Amino acid sequence: MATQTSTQAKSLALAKTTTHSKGRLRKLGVAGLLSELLKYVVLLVLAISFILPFYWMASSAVKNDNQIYTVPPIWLPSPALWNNFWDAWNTPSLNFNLYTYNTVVKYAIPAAFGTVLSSALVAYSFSRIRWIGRDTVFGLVLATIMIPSWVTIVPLFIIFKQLGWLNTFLPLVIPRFFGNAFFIFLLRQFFLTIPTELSDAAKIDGANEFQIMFRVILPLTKPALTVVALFSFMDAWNDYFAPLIYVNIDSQWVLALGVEKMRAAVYEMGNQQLAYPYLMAVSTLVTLPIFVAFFFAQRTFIEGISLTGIKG
Amino acid sequence: MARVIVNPLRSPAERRNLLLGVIFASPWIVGFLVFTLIPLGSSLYYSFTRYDLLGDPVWIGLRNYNLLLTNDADFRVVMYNTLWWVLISSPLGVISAFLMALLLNTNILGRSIFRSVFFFPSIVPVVVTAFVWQFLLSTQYGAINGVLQGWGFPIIPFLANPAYVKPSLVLIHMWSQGSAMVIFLATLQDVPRTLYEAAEIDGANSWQRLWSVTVPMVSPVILFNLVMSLISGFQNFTLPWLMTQGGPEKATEFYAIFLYRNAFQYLLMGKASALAWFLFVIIVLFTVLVFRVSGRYTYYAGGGR
Amino acid sequence: MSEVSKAGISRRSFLRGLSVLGVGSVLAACAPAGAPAASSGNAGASKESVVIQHWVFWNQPGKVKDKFEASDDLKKALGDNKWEFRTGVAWDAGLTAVAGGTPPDIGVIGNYLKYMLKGSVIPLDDYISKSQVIAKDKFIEGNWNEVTLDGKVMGIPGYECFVRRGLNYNTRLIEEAGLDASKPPVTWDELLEWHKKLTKFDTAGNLLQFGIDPYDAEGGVGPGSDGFFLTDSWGFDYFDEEKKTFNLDNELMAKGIDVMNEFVKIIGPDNLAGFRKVEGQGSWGGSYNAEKQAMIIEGYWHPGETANEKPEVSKVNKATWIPVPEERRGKKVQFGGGHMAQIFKDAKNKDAAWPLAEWMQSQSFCDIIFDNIGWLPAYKPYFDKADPKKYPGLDFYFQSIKDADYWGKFIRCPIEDFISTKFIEIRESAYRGKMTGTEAAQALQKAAEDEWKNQGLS
Repeated sequence: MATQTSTQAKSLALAKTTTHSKGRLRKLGVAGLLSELLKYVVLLVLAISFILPFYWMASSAVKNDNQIYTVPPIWLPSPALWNNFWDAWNTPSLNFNLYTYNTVVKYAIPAAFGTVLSSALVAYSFSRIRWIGRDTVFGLVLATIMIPSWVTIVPLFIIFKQLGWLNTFLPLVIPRFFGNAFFIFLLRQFFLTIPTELSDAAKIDGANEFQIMFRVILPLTKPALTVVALFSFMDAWNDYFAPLIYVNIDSQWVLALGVEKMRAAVYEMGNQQLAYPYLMAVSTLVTLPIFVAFFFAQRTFIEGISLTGIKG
Repeated sequence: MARVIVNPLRSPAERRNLLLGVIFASPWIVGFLVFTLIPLGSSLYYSFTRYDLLGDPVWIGLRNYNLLLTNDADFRVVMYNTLWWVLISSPLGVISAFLMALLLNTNILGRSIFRSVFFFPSIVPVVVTAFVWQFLLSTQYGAINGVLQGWGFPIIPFLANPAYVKPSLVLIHMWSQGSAMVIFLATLQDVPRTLYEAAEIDGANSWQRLWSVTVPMVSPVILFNLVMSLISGFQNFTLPWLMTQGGPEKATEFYAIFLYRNAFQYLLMGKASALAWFLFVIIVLFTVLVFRVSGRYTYYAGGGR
Repeated sequence: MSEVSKAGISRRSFLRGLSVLGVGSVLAACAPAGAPAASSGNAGASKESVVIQHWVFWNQPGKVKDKFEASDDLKKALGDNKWEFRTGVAWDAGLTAVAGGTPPDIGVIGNYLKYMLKGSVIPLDDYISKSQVIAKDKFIEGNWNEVTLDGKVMGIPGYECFVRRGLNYNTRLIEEAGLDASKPPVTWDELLEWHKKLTKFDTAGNLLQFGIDPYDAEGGVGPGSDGFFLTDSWGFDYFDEEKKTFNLDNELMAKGIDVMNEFVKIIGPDNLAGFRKVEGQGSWGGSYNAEKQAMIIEGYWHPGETANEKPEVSKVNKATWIPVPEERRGKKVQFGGGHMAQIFKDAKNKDAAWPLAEWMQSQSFCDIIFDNIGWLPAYKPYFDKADPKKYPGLDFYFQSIKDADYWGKFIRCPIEDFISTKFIEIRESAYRGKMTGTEAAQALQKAAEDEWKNQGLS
């Protein structure tokens, strides 16, 4: 999907945040001081506009039915209904515990595993084995980025229907075991940086290509593999479109679908005024793991990348 | 690989490498065949049929294409919306990412914090982005209109007026450009400092340095981000689908929404397939066009490739 | 240089890939496309316990699931089988499931006519002939006609049936505006007067309260199982089932659109959008419950639903006839319709699902639905004993069956869903000033005729 394409581009992005510009010392005149000030004002205004929607989300999550519709809006709800998180998560007719289980265990983990394994194999082929036609095929891999997923959606739906895969996680997970153009590209970049001497030495010791890949190359590119695993996990966690098409039974729903159904569920059950607080509560809860993962993973990437000495 | 090749597969080592290479690449090759090439072919076939999934496909030749191009007022609206979206949102998205990166590339305190803040919106679940912004921008219950109303101003119908809704979506698009920004930032940090120093010695001011050093040096990345943004812009679905369902007055009925409706609401799989192939052709043409045009303006180190 | 440009997506490799891709696509196009295999849904007559998939499109029944499960009637209907009860199945999702060959065993999931016409559901006559519970004469006639196609019964009325035309109003808001709640408006002109008096703005021109959104809830429905409201009020049929011709481009349609749009223009189309689906919050009747909207065109369920969702508003709820144009003054318009349970062709457990169709008419089922949600079945044995005074405003609907002198016709049109969607689009263009009522009626007629041809119907 479109969104998937852009999130995958992130792997390229984060892999490149390694270098830090060296501070420049310079003397500031009055004009310079003013421009410095202006810069921080712009930065702060921007930062606030980036944080504000999330603050609005989290603060609205704990509002009661009166606070939600007050004009002017309330930014610091008092009393704060912390119970909303619990109540929203346990909305009758929805089952967020199950959706979390489905999202993580049935979708994201197998999808991440499949993506890492297959993309690494293919990237290995494109970077560490010299074979006739390799570069043409690699060009083809990149060209597939251009193919709108919409062209294949109707036939794939029909194929999965015939295979009896609808309403299972197979249509979501199985394709991930066949490589992903973005991650193949990313891993290839990392594999290319490892000196061929290492492979040659292993070959002399009698290792075959699989052994070289799993024992020599992959251990050296753990940070890159982590990046791929993390991003494919997050793609699955955030995915709305594929489950929308292929998973049509709520015992197999994922979190994104649960969040979408939240409002209608609350609304039609009679708690109309609580529709938005509840929706914001589950939105907050679903965003939180992404926030935590990002917070920690960012450091992992940068440290990992600098450890292997790859320069951006 | 400057070699004289008489028979590429002459040596046993090369045959062995080919075999190994193909084995290692086989997941992608098989996946490409099964999940891309065969569906591509079948979708082309379906595009010449009338097919509702409940019965069998009926061959109707070029009728689907013909109707779309000659007698479908909705399709014209959808094309207008989609081209508007791509031509406005893609450049603005790239520009906003570039500007944020420029700002972060200066000598500032707390850069990594700002970087994280600007980046984060691009990785939250799109379902969350949609609902949070829908709530923020709502005419009746939104934070922004609540403030306006509280101060005695008229509200702004961000998502309720056909003239406002597309710009509102562009705003949200620019807000979630974190990944492009990080790519820019990394590239900016790679621009050799000596180039700036040389320009400074030549008396270039900061504006001239931006245009004569920075922009040319990062032009390949601008191109990359632009192409990615065009490709995904043509397929824009989830955000407008969740926020506006194509409304008001069809102002956000984009290509992918129209396609989804035809396929999964009306079960017109033939028409949907024709739409899909038409989209594919448009994207290829646009991409090639961008590469052709940009070829003149893009700087590649080492004499271009 | 950036890695991206240096090692990867250069123009040349991209274009080379592209050309290879082009060739591949042509090859693939020559390959035969997979023909859809008809999946066989066997009427599993085995004695083993099965899981019966029972889906409905509403969310409300979700809150009475426990009550259902506690009832002996459901236990009896299920026997050894298990029950998977799924609520809130959007019409699209249901359609995708049916088209994908993974339908429920028994479902109340909309698109009823489509499923009948496409043969996605099975005729139930054999089951009915053996049933003690279900027979034609036990149901409201209109509902039974609705489930019958070409002499075969393709569904059983269930969950929510009965009459669907009434003007509900909030007497508190009416009296606050200095109007006489005991003399409700009868014509559109009179309704417009009330609307003007009930619509309020703040000094900056922001909407605070409004009289009625004529397209909210039942007022907005196009052709389908709820009927076509506008045609009922103005008194014409939009489609001739025999001749297969559309009658959308006529004076009454044009006038209807103009008159109803007048109400929207007073509120302001953008203000209205905030209450409507485009911004999510505005589902059916939400603004009435929030006492932002003083009147609403709704079916018999409105009194009961309001009582269960917002008791304080229910106390001031009253109902009367829907408005008609001046020349039809005094016409008492009503429409009977509703929903039905269908058993799907691709279902795995058809026989096991049938008892659930009977269960939907049982005393306990109907009580649970009536008491907790406010809905009524089309089943006369239940219906005859139900209390019309249970919810404020409900007695109007019971009485209306006897008093109505114009019944909206239930029309079967294969592209009714398309017309319904188009109607919503075109009326919006009209109230946003892009076209007149006459132009809107013409546009609707043309769209309907084009679609008819495009779908290969004749």
